Amino acid sequence: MLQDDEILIMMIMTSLMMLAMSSFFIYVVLRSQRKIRRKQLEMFNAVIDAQEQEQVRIARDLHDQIGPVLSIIRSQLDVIDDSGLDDIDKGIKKDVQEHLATAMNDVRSISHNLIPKTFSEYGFLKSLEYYIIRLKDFNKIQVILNCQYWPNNLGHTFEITLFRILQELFQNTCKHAHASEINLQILIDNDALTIKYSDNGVGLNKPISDNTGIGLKNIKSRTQLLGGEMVIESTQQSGFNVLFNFNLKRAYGTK
Amino acid sequence: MQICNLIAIIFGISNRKHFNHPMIKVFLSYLIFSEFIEIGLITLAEMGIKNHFLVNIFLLVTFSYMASIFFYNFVKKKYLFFIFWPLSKIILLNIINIFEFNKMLLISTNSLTILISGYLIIKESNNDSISISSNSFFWINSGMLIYFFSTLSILIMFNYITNPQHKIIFTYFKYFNFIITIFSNSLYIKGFLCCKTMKY
Repeated sequence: MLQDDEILIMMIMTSLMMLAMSSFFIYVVLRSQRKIRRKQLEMFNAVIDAQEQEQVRIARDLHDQIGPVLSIIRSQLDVIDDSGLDDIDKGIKKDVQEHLATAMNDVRSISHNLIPKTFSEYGFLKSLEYYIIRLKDFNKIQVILNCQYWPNNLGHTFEITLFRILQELFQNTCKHAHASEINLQILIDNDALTIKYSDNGVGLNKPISDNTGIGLKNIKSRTQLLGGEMVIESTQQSGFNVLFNFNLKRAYGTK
Repeated sequence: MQICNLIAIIFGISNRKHFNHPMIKVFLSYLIFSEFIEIGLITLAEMGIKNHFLVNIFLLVTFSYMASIFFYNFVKKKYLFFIFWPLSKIILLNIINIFEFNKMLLISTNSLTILISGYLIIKESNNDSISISSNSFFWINSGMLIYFFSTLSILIMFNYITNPQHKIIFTYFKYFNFIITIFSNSLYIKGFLCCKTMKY
């Protein structure tokens, strides 16, 4: 028959061992998953970089090669004298001119969407304002932007990635949220950049943990890429709210 | 001391409006039920009353809850029968033995609960849509795993715990259970917090 002391020691040993084993198991899972995430992030970083470079190349090609060719076609069309044409030819010429104008506008618009026109000249904030004006025109949506100050030394990579995040959010709201108003607040306090984005739409229709949409995944990955943190709060009553926190010290390093 | 069992429940109830997944609500219901059974169990044991019925109920409810989560989330249709059959048999055996003290059955039920929670942890850690440290199910299942794995030894020594002659063993059980409960409750609270907002 075992004595009380022996049983007690046995119990203490086994229970503590089991507690340690289960904690170790959780620690190992947590650690290995963090490692995998870090590797995925590095890969995503490379993909984003390549994607941005490709977008720049396509935008430049569209702007510098297709654009001038279309302009030449337009000026050559303008040279054709209308007096020598019958009514049918005049109609065809007018149609071609109209299609050409549409094609030129489309090329410009695609090129500007790939790289915002104002980005290289005026930087992040002006590009954002320009984008919001266009968004208001095309989507009949009220956008309130509140940004008192934007530092001009954040680096191109940081700014363009942030711009893409906001672009994705705006597009999500316009496509899915049925919202009439978007509120965007950008606050900078010392080295901390806080961005609050909210709309008055229908919110996410399924749990955030189940949301595997490419748009949200892209936003999440880009945020991680900038070393930031993203907090989503979405209910059907309060629309979609997202908060970003970035440490600008890290952002300076992305220049 | 048993009040510590209620920490996670109080936290869960006060934050229930933020729960954005139906299974979190199911977990909260399970937690309320199981924690009250546990409080009752320890109080009765302290008074020297053996209550095998409550122990059986506690493990049966836990196992049924884990099995339902397992089915709800992960089992593919073609494997359904092969897994459903042994699990339902264990549940049935537990129901039949609800008033008996069948140590082997309790230990095997507890071990299977541990296995399922371990499987759920690994499965949740592969969820690409959310970072692991923000996954509420990961933390909840971790709490379950730690609690049930650590208390497996207690279950093995259950005869000694409920025997009034071995008072010192019951005292150790009480304090150890208290620490484990605080530990697992903290993980449940972390799970509830992650559910409130999803941090990426």
